[in-house]
Order: sequence, then structure tokens, then C-alpha cells
Amino acid sequence: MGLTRVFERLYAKVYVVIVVLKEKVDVSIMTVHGENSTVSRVEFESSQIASALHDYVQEAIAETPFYYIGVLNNGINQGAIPTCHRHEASQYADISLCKTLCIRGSYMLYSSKYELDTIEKMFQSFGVDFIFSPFTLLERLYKDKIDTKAQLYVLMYEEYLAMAIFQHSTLLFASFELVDSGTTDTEFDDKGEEEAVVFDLEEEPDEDGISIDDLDALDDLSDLEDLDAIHELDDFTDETPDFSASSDTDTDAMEVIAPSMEDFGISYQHFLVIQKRLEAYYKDETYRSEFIENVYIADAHDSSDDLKRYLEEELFLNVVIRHVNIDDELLTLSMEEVQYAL
Amino acid sequence: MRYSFITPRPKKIVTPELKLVFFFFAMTLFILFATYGFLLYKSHQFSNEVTAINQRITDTNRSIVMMQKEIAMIKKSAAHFQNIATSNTVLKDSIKNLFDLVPERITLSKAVLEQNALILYGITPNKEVYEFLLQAPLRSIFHKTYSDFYPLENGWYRFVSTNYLDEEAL
Repeated sequence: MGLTRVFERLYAKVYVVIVVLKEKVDVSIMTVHGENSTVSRVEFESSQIASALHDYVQEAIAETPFYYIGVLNNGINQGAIPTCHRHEASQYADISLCKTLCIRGSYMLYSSKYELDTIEKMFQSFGVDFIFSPFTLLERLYKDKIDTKAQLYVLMYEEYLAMAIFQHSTLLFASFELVDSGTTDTEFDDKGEEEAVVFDLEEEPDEDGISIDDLDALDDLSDLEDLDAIHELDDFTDETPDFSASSDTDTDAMEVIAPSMEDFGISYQHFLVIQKRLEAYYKDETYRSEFIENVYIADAHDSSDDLKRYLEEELFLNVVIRHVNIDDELLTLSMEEVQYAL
Repeated sequence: MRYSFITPRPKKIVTPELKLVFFFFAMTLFILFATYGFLLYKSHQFSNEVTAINQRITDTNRSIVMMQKEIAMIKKSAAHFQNIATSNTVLKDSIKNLFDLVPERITLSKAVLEQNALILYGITPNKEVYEFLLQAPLRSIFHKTYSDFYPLENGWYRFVSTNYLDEEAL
């Protein structure tokens, strides 16, 4: 052990963090030798994982045996639940095929074993030392704020969105989403499907009339009138139906509107997801429901100005946006994990 | 706190290639040190043997000196014994000759042989017999001869013949 410590001082330490996005892969490499450290970042196309990315990482780690590869887990079958007991976990999620991680004895991170294996196989040429959950980043980014009242915390990077509600450092609710601007509706097919009526434009109205849930949904639709963006968009011509009278609107008219939602951009998709998940949180009795006034958004790609406006105008939330660098956070986390592992 | 779903792989400083290099280096060093040790042992052994041989040479030289001394002593003793034997032989011959000189009519009662002298005690029927038969040969041998006679009751004479050899003539 002592000999290893000596060699650790002689060799440089290389921390590599990899963030796999939909169409690209961000790689950041930090080389630490004594007090000096250098960081380099490169973006690769997803198709270059097996060639250019491999060569780039191999070149960086060739000089030292003390290298650590960290990957941000973007598997869609992951999440966090407000318990560390597996027998209680089943009421929140099916974790039978998941690997779990208890954090501070307070809440549990879980991720599909298959997806973790996929990550390890993807980078098996140089191996993977750490696989981090985005919820870990979220908690670390707002560790000075989660010990207060119930607030929503969101981490956004590209098309991924991790959101969690903490109250007095206790997790109340968490959700991880892949927001695809082209297939937004397909993201709303899980346990909150009953609330998706607002955006499920294909659904026929109830023959017996309008239920209470539908009325709530209609309220949500009427809120959309307040969006200035909708009025300013050229695509919304005179054909745009009156949302306040949506109960009388036929399906064909709505089909005209549906494609135009894509033009709102990824921010609107994010807004829809957040709105959907908040609704699910409020209505799902499994979770301890607390009223959310504030939203803290950690934005990795400077794309949240519109989202802030949507949230403030539509959901009357106080939104605080913080621009973050996920790679730097992952590098810091990797260094701390190495200290912990040693 | 542990935040990763997997634990980091142990970092091995020594790669298999490096292990092979270390193995060959270790083997080379082992052979070198073994050869050095063997040569050191042999050198020490030879050194001990040289010391032992030198000690044996010293002991042998000391023995040779002692033996040479003994040989010298033995030679000296032998010469001494040879001289004694020669002297004894001479003396024996002299005594034999002496007794051969004594005629039948004279009887010796005592003879004293000294380094340069011969003293004879005996009885003779008369002085003439003594003078012609004994004194004459004695005079031919010794340089000085003195005779004293003492008459006995029966008419014979007891005599004492003292004969000397001159040391200068020897």
C-alpha cells in the first residue's frame, strides 16, 4: 500500500469523464500531477466512439496507470426514490433488475443493470471506473439549497432532463427524462398517462361529457393562451383554434396545431415535461406532496431562457437558473470518489 | 460517500509486460549474484586452502629444520660412536696384541691401559725372561719403558712395567 502511495506521487493522475448525448459524446480529461492540472475537452460524433474517441482516451491514459474513467449515466431506466429499503421501493418503481445505491441513508438511486452493462461494454477497450447518476450531480449542485423547504431542482443537458424535489435534504420525488423534440408525446406514456390527455390530441372526448380531470386539463390548455410565443409565431395563423373553446373543437383542428408544437423548441418540450411531472407528483399519493414555489434549474447548454418564461408565466413558479458545466462537476466528483475508493 | 454505481478497478502499477521485464531482470540479477556468491565462496575457500597450505609449509619447514638438527646430532653421535668403535677396535687390537706379546712363562696379574700409557703387573720367573721376551717388544712400541721388580719367596719376581707414548710423536 505504501509503495502504491509512492507511485501515485510519481505518476500523474488522469481523470476522464464521458457524457454520452444523443448525437455526440463529450469527453473531458483532467491530468493532475502534483499541484499542476490541465483540462482538455473534445466533442466526438456518436459514430466515433469506437475509433477517434478510443484513440483520444488511450493516448491520454497511456502515460500513467492511475487513470479513472467516469461516465454519466444517461440510461432512461434510472431514477431516484425516497427510500433506501428495497421492500418499500416497489411502491415507487420496479427495481428488480436494477442496481441501487443508497445515498446518505435517505434515498436510493437506481439504474437498469442492462444499461450499466451497456455503458461498460461501450467503453470496454479502456474500461470504466465510475458511472454517476445525474441525480448525484443535481444534489451536489444544490447541496446548499436542498436543506430548505420543498423545491424543485432540475438538471438540463441537451435532451436529457433530471428533476428532483428535495425538502430538508430529503428526496420527495425524482424523475429522469429523455426529451425528444420529434417524439414528445411518446415520452408521456408511463404512469402519468392519465394526465397526458392535455397533449393526447388523438383521444376522443368522453361521450358522457367532460370529467373533472378533463376540466383540469382544459384549464391547462387555456393557460397556453398566455404564452406570448404562441401569438408571435407565424405558424399560428387564423386557423389557430380558440383553446378556450377546445371542448368544442374537433380532432382535425387540433391535428393542425400538433406539429407546430415542435417549433417551440426544446425549451417548450422541457417545460411540458416539467409540467407533466409536477402534475404527476401532486396527484400521485405515493409521494408526499408538498407545494412547490421555487424551481432551480441547472442548465448545461444555455437554453433555458424560454423555459424560465414558460414556467413563470404558466406555472407561476419562481425560477432561478444557473449555468453549469457538467464536465467540471463530473471531474470534481471523480476526484472525490477516487479519494473515497482509496 | 460512494456515488458511483460501480467501484473503480484496482490500479496496477505493474503491467504484465512490465512483470515479464522485471522477471528477466530479476533472473539476470539472481544469476549475477549467484555467480558472484559462488565465486566469492570459491575465493574464500581457496584463500582458506592457501592459508592452510602456507601453515603446512611453515610447519614442514619447521620440521625440516628440526629434522636437520636431529640429523646433525645423529651424524655427530654416529661419528662419535664411530670414533668410539674405532677406538674400541684399536684398543681391542692393542689388547690382543698386548696379550700376544706376553710369553707363556710370564703371568700378568693386572693391566692398566691409559691414554698414552700401559701399566702391567705380573710375575716372571726371572728378570731375563722378562727383559728378552716382554720388555723388548714393549720398547719397540712405547717411547719410554720403566720396569720395577720385587722378588718373591719362591725366587720369582713380581714386576711392574710402566710404558709411555710421547704425545708429540702421536
